Amino acid sequence: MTVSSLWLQGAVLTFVFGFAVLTFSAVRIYQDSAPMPDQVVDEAGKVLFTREQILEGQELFLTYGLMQFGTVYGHGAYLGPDFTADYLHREALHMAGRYGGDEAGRQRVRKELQENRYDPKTGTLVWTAGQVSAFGEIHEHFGELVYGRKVSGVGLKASMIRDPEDTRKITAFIAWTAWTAVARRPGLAYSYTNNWPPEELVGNSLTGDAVMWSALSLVALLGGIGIVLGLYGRYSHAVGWHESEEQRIRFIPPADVALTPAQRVLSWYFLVVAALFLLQNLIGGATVHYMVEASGFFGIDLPRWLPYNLTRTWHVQLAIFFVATAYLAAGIFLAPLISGREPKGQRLLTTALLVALAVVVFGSLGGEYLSYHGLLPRGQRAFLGAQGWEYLDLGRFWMYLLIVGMVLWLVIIYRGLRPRLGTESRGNLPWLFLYSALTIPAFYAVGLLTNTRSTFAIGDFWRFWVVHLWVEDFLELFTTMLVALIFVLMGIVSERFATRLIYFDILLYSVGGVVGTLHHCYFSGGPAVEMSLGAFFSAAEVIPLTLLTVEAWSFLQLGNRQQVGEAATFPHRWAVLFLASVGFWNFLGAGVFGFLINLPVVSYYEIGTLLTSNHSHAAFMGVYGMLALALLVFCTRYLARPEDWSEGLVRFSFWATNIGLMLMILGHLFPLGILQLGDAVTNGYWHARTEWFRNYPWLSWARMPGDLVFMAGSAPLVWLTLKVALRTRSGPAAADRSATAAAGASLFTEVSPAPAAGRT
Amino acid sequence: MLPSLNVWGLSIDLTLVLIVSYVVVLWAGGWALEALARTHFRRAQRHAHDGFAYDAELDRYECPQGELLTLDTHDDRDKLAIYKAPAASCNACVLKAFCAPHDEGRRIYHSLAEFHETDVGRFHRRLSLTILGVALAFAGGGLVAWWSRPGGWLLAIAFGVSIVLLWLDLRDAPRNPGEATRASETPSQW
Repeated sequence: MTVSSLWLQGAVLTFVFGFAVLTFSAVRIYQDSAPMPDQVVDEAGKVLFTREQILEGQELFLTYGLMQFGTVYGHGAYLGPDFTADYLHREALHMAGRYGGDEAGRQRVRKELQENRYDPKTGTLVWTAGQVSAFGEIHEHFGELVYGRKVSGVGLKASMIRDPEDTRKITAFIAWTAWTAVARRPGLAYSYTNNWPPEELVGNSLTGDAVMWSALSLVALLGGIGIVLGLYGRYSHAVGWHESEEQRIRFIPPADVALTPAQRVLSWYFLVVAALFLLQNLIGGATVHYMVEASGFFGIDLPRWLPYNLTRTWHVQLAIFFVATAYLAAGIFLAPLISGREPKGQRLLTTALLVALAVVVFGSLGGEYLSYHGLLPRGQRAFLGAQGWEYLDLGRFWMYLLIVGMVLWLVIIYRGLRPRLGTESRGNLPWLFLYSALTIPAFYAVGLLTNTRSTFAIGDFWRFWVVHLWVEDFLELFTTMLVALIFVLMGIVSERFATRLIYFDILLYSVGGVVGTLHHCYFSGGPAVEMSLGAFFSAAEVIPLTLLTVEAWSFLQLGNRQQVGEAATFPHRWAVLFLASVGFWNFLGAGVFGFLINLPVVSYYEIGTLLTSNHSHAAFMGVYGMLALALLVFCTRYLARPEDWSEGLVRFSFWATNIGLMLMILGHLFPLGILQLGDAVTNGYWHARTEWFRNYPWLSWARMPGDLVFMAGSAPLVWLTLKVALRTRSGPAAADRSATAAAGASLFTEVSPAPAAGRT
Repeated sequence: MLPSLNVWGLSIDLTLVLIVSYVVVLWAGGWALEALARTHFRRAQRHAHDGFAYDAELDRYECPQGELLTLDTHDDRDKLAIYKAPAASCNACVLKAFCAPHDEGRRIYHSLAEFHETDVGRFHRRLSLTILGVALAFAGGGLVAWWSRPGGWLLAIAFGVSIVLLWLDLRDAPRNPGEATRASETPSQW
């Protein structure tokens, strides 16, 4: 092995530890999540609705895209209300009015709602007359606001869901979530959702557990940072982005690096990446415009064709697609550089994968359109249309196809690496690259454990395996892997140092990141132990982020020393700068803005507000988006003919995307999110989620400059990649063995400085 | 909407107070970003010669084993001063495996570039300027809205300070890359 086998053993042990804890919590969630009654009856025993109807309601809620309009348990999109909190507030108001509206009436409301009248033996939940009466009124309200509104508004089209039986089932599902939010767990003083949402009328307030675990997680964070930074100071020479002696290198001009047939196909991949990125930005612009004009787009009745829930779904899905396509392409591009050869048939497989990706992307977007507009038969909606879980929006069929596509990609990577794998220890860099590639389809496939009829807490748990583990851990690991490999190929760090750094990352992420998945599940109906584990370990996630930021700044200097004075000869100036921005946004977006909303005491009021959107934009676009652009620029530099390459276009794109993102964050999302959080604490969560931001139209419009600058940054990349795709560089020839490989599978040569007489 | 506050008998809109506070946070954020990046830039530069003592008078380094590294090359184009130890000494040294990955003698690459001249420096500076620009926009927008209302003077001050900070930051940046390096010709100056 290139490095000590202790690194491998340590990585395996922490990995096993993390997943053992997560498996334990999976078992607990099946045992202790909020129960769904077989039937809900009134006090006379008349059945109001059944478990089957609640599940059907959930399925309708999801497949009509309502989780991409508002939220349930704080999870979903932010234009609409939080349905759980809104139902609960309206229910309490209705019942208080019915019981006289005085303090005695309010006390009775609290008592009735908190009392758990669910009998697990019979599977029956009994509602009081007040609850039954409130259900009818709230159903009418949702009918006017969402299901059957007369004209386009709140980002939705008129007459969205026509079948009265369907709408009643959706309200039944929402009513069930509201019941879980207030009914106390048997023998305990808090609800199934740890008293979320905060609602004074029903006596929901922060639990002692939330406060205690927030405090303990802060202790863990501060102690952990101290210990890790102390160790880092002592041992950074062994794992940091620096060598014993920096070496001067000269890069092989991109035009002299041979391309394999499969690599040439990748120019089309990068055109797809750039086009999806531009489309994602434009759709994002339309999505956020609904915050200032809920009934259309500058007078056009946009909700009729592209309602908010659809544009928001596409915005989120396209973000995943453009980043994933860039990662897949970069993996294929690097494989022959690592192994030094390309087997026959790779070009065909790479082309087939591109076709498969196009089918999944456009098929799934089309399916979502048909599902949200109710144009698919009921039985086909979740399969061919949309499953509707935020981030896992695409229909089941498209999800299967996407997994098949990723497995095909894995086959391409394995075939590409095979010549080198046979000669390497299983703990070395090429094998680590293969392992991390393997985790990408594997952990996306976990999403199959969620379906439209999973009980919400369980479905949400598996959904966050994809959102958190796949995105925040394994894509992060793959990111480190790609950056490390690129730096090895560029001669900036040695393979030994890169391998150590990757093991170091695995150790750090496995300790905090894996169990930290549970911080998404504080309030969605799972057991309280999830909150304690989630709070404690997700605070520890900030420790590697802090360390990686320190490291990122060190690593920036590596590329930097190639850029001073010889920018014209350094071919990857802008790719390295995009990587530099990854380090910066990792710190600000994932570290600062992530931790800001992480503690249970903050998340209790904050979940589902614009501060979450602030974190997701800064972290997802800032880290994964910028890395995707870095990969695009790095690979396209080799694919382009010298006369087609334009430093100016890439420079403009770099500055526009980074400055645009900063303007978007600081000009809109962060200040508005803080105001919204203040409103949630002062006036109640339901209030902060009820089109509250319309009180600040000037701040909503403040989003526009940043968005326009950002969008302007995506357009030049489309032009550049289009030129490159149409005129991909063809020489020097390399049928199955590249000239680069012959030169030692690297993109640089070492330079010994010529001694000079003295100062010039 | 947010309520008003009573400060020294004056009723001030809480929104105004929040805007001014946010502008101050942005000033601090912009400054901290650039200061941190600059500090780390210097720290990373020192990495290149950790454990090696520099003698400014004789313009040479001394390694932990007492060997001297003298100026070998001064590369003006790449803004590098390269110091080198005798190959024979390094090849016989007990620390060679940790120190020099080749047989040509340990070298120290001493960057002569200033923070402003590097791409990473420009990246952090422009983000910092963007943050100050957002502060200016908030202060300016607030000033227009509160021009004739109680507390407008707070925004006028915030607007004025934002302009001064932006001007100071822009003034500090050399107009042409390379200016700063010519001003600090020898490594001993930093």
